[in-house]
Amino acid sequence: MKIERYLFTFIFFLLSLPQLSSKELKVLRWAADAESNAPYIFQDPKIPTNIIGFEVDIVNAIAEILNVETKFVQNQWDGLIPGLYRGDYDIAINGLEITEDRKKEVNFTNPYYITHEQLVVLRGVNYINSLSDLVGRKVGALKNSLAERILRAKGGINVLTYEGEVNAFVDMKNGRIEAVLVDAPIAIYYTAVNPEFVMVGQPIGEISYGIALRKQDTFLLNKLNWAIDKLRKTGKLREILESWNLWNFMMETYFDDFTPSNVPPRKYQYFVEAVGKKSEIAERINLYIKFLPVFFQAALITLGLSLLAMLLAIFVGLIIALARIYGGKIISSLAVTYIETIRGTPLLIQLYLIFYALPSIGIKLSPFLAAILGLGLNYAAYEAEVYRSGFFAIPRGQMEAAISLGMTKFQAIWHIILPQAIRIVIPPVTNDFISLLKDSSLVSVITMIELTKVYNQIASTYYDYLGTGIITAILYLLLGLPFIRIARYFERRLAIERKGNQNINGKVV
Amino acid sequence: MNGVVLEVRNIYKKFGNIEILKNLSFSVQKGELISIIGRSGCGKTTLLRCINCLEIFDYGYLRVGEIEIERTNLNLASKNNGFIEEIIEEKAQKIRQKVGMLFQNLNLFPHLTVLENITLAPIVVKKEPKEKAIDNALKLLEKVGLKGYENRYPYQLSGGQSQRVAIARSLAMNPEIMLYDEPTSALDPELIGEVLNVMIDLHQEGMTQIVVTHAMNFAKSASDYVMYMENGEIIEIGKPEKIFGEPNDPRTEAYVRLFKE
Ligand SMILES: Nc1ncnc2c1ncn2[C@@H]1O[C@H](COP(=O)(O)OP(=O)(O)O)[C@@H](O)[C@H]1O
Ligand SMILES: [Mg+2]
Repeated sequence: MKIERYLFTFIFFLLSLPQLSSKELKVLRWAADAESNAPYIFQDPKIPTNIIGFEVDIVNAIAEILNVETKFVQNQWDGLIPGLYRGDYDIAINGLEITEDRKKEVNFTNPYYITHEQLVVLRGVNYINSLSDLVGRKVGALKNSLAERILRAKGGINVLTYEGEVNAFVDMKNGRIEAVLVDAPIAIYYTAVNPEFVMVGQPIGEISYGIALRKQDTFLLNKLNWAIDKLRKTGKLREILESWNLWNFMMETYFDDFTPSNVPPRKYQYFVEAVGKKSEIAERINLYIKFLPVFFQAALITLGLSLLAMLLAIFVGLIIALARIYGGKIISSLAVTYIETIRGTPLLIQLYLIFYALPSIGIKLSPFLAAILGLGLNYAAYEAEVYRSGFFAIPRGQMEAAISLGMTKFQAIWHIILPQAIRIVIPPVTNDFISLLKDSSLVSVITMIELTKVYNQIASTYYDYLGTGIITAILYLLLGLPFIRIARYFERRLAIERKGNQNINGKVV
Repeated sequence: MNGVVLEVRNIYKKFGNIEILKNLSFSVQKGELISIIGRSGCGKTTLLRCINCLEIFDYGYLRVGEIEIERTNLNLASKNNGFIEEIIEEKAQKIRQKVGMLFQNLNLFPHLTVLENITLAPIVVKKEPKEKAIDNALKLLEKVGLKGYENRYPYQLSGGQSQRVAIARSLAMNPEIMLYDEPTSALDPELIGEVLNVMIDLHQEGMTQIVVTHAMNFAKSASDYVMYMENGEIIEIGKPEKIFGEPNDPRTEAYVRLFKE
């Protein structure tokens, strides 16, 4: 995560392009990560293709006031701010806490919601009620969150950090930690559907969420602030928060509005009702069946993406391999440099560079193309090496026999070496394809919604990583299975040909 | 001089700093069968590879048919001259088309059928029409005694059959000279005869052939001339009766005596 940070900062330098700041806004393109849990932005438990959440309602309310359409852009949470500067969307709203650090990179609107950190423990634990009770104990928090900073500042607490809150809760259930400190909305929703956990103690700290937008978009910033203010005055914002059971004393103070609540928490109840009763196996299975089309669609994207990327890898890899083996000194060393660079750097960074850095030199690829390019060029390096070993597995005499029949080097490579090399490399290349299929899950960082992403989205809505995880694993397996069969088939055929030679001649031809 | 299809004059070849071929000169008349004998490592393979231009000699003169390659002091000085190297490579490729070579190791193309092995070069290199190439290939297969084997793959052939297909494959390019580098040394003894017989048949048809061999009986009975090499030099060339009977050079004498018992 550290490296990404630096990378992003680097990219910001590159991306100081003037963007559509004064242009008349017709469509408000907004980004979030739909796998952030309830109540922020998540999949409708009953209709998995719908995205709901209190932030969705706020965006829609703002759009209504500004009289613009909205367009949702999915992006990995870590990539929300870099994506702003890539120009794929105009605002990011996704539980982004207004911090000094972030304010250096983006502008924030006035807060649309203010909340606090909340302690959660296992039901029945009665010795934890405040921060002081945590001293000397193991406590979980989200990585880089205010909660983590608060716990560390307190001192004497053994802080364990997690990527997702569900991991922290599961760890608590398993006895590895004794308490979790999270943003109150998460605590409210998680404990509502997981009765083995309870919220305890007083509110801790203060978190303000704001909408992030590009520094140069000051015109839009003013418009958004005006809209938020209008939502406050008309009571619309309060109504939204109340329907999600999120209206709290901090908002009362912020809005200077202490009237008693009269809006029923409809949406909260809808969620609790849909996600809460998970004990019924039959109901659970029904739910999975309802998800299947969404999973299938995502699996198709994963397959298509992987096939295209592999095609690219096979083709580019071949060129690189030929360059390395038959190219002169310079071409050959260029090929080696490419192979070593690609293999020596993480695929994740390569994807970031292609997606976020290329636009700064005028190359802006769609997420799908960027994903194919990133995966394809990465795997090309590996395939090149596979080919190379394939070429070397072919006896030198084959080339010489071809040459002495009067063929040119190119003809010999094309008619004699390549066809044999291809048969040798089909099994390893197919195996690599299966790896690529799995690695393709990484492209969710560049806003592609593929199988793993859909899994995360659905799993985080239901706090159910097991059932949906099994479905996902089975789908990956099914996608890879035909290719495993192909690899085995060619391995067997090759073995027969080679064995045949050995039996008769005592040596491999 | 009219009948001379191969001329080798003052050829030198080094690998690194070691001279492998030292000042070799000889010529071969059309239709002759020459056997080259000599101890392992004396440069027989290297000589064949130089004639076939798989290696380009460092100095000297080579003529196959009308194609000549000459490396004299003059152009040797500019050995790194890419232009000259390019011309030489162009000529070398022409020579390779005129010279067929059979290697010690079995090296049919394993991914192609017998028929495809034979027709590939004529189609690709000579741009022969496919039907013509196939026609010719079937005739050649009959000649080497492998009628009906055209659809087999190399792994379905014995070693002797493989070498005979390899001969047919070379003949399909209609070479002026055939070179053989120990064509039977990888074969089981009972398979050697079938390969040597093909070469004897070709001799009768007037094919020019050079054979590196350890099969002394074959060299003695089938060749027009025998060449004895030692240490990268030609020690003696002569009729087989002379070489195996009363050679001029004591070194030849010492070598052939090894096979007398
Ligand atoms: N490519 C090569 N590089 C270096 N030395 C070689 C090479 N090919 C052959 N030689 C050397 O040249 C000498 C003659 O080899 P070769 O022509 O194969 O002999 P022969 O065929 O008579 O056994 C041997 O000493 C061998 O080690
Ligand atoms: Mg040899």
